[in-house]
Amino acid sequence: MIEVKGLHKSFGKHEVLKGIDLKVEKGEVVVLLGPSGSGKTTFLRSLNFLEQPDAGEITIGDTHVNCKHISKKEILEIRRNTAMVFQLYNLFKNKTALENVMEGLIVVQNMPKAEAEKISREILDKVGLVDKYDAYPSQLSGGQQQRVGIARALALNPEVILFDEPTSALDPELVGEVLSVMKKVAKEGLTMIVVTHEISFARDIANRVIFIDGGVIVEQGTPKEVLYHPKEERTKQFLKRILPDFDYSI
Amino acid sequence: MGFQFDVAFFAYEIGIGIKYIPIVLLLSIVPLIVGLLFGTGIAIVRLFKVRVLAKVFTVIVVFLRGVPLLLQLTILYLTVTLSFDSLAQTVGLKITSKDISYTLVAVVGLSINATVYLSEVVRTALQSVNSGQYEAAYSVGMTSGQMLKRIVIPQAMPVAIPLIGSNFIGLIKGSSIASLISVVELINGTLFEANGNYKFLEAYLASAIIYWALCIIVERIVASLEIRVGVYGKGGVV
Amino acid sequence: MENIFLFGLFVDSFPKLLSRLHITLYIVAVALLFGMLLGTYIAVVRLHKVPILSQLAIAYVSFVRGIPILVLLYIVYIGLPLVVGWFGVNINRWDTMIFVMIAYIINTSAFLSEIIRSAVAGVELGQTEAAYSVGMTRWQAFYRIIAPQAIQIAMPALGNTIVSLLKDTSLAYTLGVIDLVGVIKAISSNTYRSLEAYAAAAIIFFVLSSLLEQGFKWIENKLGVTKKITIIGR
Repeated sequence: MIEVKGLHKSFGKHEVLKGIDLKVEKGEVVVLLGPSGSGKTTFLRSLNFLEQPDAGEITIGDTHVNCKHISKKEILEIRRNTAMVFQLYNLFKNKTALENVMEGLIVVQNMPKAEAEKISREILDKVGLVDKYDAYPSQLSGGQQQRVGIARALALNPEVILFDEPTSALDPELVGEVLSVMKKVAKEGLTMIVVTHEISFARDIANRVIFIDGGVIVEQGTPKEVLYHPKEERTKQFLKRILPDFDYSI
Repeated sequence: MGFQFDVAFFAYEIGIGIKYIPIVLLLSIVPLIVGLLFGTGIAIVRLFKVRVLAKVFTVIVVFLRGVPLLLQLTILYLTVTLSFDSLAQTVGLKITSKDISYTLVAVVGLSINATVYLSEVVRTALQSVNSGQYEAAYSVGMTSGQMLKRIVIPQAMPVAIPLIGSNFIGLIKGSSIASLISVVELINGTLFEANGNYKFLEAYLASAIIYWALCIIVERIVASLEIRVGVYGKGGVV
Repeated sequence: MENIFLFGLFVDSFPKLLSRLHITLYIVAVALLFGMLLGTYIAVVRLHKVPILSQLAIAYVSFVRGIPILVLLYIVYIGLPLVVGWFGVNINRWDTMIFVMIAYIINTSAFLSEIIRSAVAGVELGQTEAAYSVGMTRWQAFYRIIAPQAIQIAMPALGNTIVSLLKDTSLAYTLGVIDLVGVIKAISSNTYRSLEAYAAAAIIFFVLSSLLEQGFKWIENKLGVTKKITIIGR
C-alpha cells in the first residue's frame, strides 16, 4: 500500500509539485498522464527519492517517512521496497542481462548466488529473453534492454514498480513487446505506478488514471471516467491534443 | 631561523620574468605552427597510406614519441655543435659552434618534437570523422582536397582543438628544457638575478607563476574556441 | 666525419646506462603508486565538492599542471626544507632522492586526479540512478557499477600519463640523481663525449616506452575498452 500526503518540490524558485496526495492499493495499476512540465515525472522520481521532495509524507508498505526530516537509512529502506524502470533503460553496462537482474538480489537482498541466478533466469524467461542471458546491453535492441529492465525490477519483488515513460525511447515496432510484458506484469497483481503517453495501456490495463498538470492532481478516476468522460476543462484540453481522433463524449 | 620569503624580491623577479615571456612564446608558438603544418602533412601521408613515405614517417613518429624531449634536444644540440665544428675545420672557416644560436637549435628541436605529437593529434582528429563522410564526399565527385577542406577538416576541428590546446601547454612547459642546453629563457633569466642573494626559491616561484598564468590563458582561449567550433555537437565520442 | 659519432662508445654505453635503470624505474613506480593514492583522494574531494578542500584541490591541480617539471623539482628541493624548517624540522640532510620522489608524486597526482575525476564523471548518471533504484548503497553503487566503467574510460589516458611519467623522469638528474640519464654526466666526464651515451639512452627510453604501450594495449583489450576518442591530451 502506497500513500503520499502533501508532496511539495521546487527547483530553485520554480515550484514543480504543489501538494500531491495519493493513495495506491496493493495490486493497483495507476497511470499518470499529463503534459510535459506537469510534474508527473518529478513526482514519480520523488517516490524513490531520486528527487528529494521539500515537504510531505510518504508511506510505502511498512515504511513511513517525513520528507523534510529524512535520514539516509530511511531513503535506503524506501529504495529497497521499490523498483524503477527507466525511460533510457539504464541497464548496468558492465553486466550481462542475467547479471543485471541478479545484481539487486545478490548485493541488496544478500541472496546466495545460485538462488539469485535461478530466479533471474525464470524472470528473464517470463519477459521473453530466454537466449539472451549472457548478452551485454550494447548487444541488445532497445526493446530487449527495456524488458531486461523490467525483469530487474520484477526480481526485487518490490511493493511497487515505478515506470518512468518506459516506451518513450523505443522505436514504434518495439513498443508493443514492452507493453505486452507490462500487461503481463499487471495481470500478475503487482502494484504499478506508470508515467506514460501510451493511452492504450491506460485504457486497457490501468485501474486508475490520474491527470496531473501544473504540479497538482487535476482529476482522477477509472480509465473510462477520465479518458471518456473528463470533468475538468484542463483534462479535456490535454486529451484533445494527444488524441485528436479518440472518441469521448461529455 | 624562520622561514623567510622575500616578497619584494619575488615581485621583482616576476617583473624580470615577464620580460622573458617573448622567448617562451617564441619557443612554443613557432614549434606549434611548424608542428601543425608538418604534422598535418605527415598525418595525411599516413592516413592515405602513401607508398614508402607513410612507413618512413610512421617509424620516425613512433620512435621519437618514445624519446624524452630532454634527450631529443641534447642529441640535436650535440650533433649540431659537433658537426659544425667538424665541418668548419674541414672547410677552414674560423667560426666555431659557439657562434651558433642555441635558441635556434632549441626552436628546431622543439619543432621536431611538436611535429611528432601534433601529427598524432591531426591523425586522431581526422580519423574521428565517420568514414561515411569520406565516402559521401567521393560519391558526389569531390577531389580529396575538396573533401578535406569542406567536409572532413570542419568536422575534425572540435576533436582537434582541445588536443592542440593541451599540446600547446606542453610546448610552453617544454620550452623550459631549453634552459638545459644553454638557452637564455625564463628559468635562466630569473635565476640569474638571484645569483647574488641566493634567493633561488623566489626566482623559481616567479617563473612558476608566469608559466601558470600562460597556461591558464591558453586554457581559456581553447575553451572559447571549443565553444565556437563545437557546432556539430560535442567532440569526443565517435 | 667519424668525429661526430663513435659507434664503439655508443655500444659501450649500454651496460653503463642499464646499470642505473633501476633508479629510473624506482622513481616511476613510487611516483605512480603514491601519485595514484593522492590523485584519487583529490578526485574524491572534487567529485564530492567538499567545501574549501575542493577549491584548494582545484588550485593545486591547476598550478601543478601549469608549471614545468623542472621548476617543480627545484621548488620542492629548495622550498620544502624552508617551509618545514619554519616548523623547526631540519630536513636538509635528507637524501636528494626523497625530494625527487616528492616532486614526481606531486606532478603525477595532479594529472591522475583529473583523469580519475573526469572518468567517474563520465559514467552516465543513469547508471548511478539505476543502482540506487535497485536499493544499493552509495558504496555498493560505486564499487560494482561506476568504478568498473570509470576504469574503462580512464585506461587510455592513464596509459599515456604513465608513459609520459617515464619520459619525465629524464629530468631528475638536474637534482643530482644518478639514474639512467644522470649517469651520462659521470660517463662523459671521463671521455669528454656524451653524444653516444645520450643516443643509447634514447634507445633505451624508446624500448621502455614501447613495452609500456604494448602492455597498456593488452590491458585495454582485456578490459574490453572500446575505441572511443577521449579528449584528455598529453
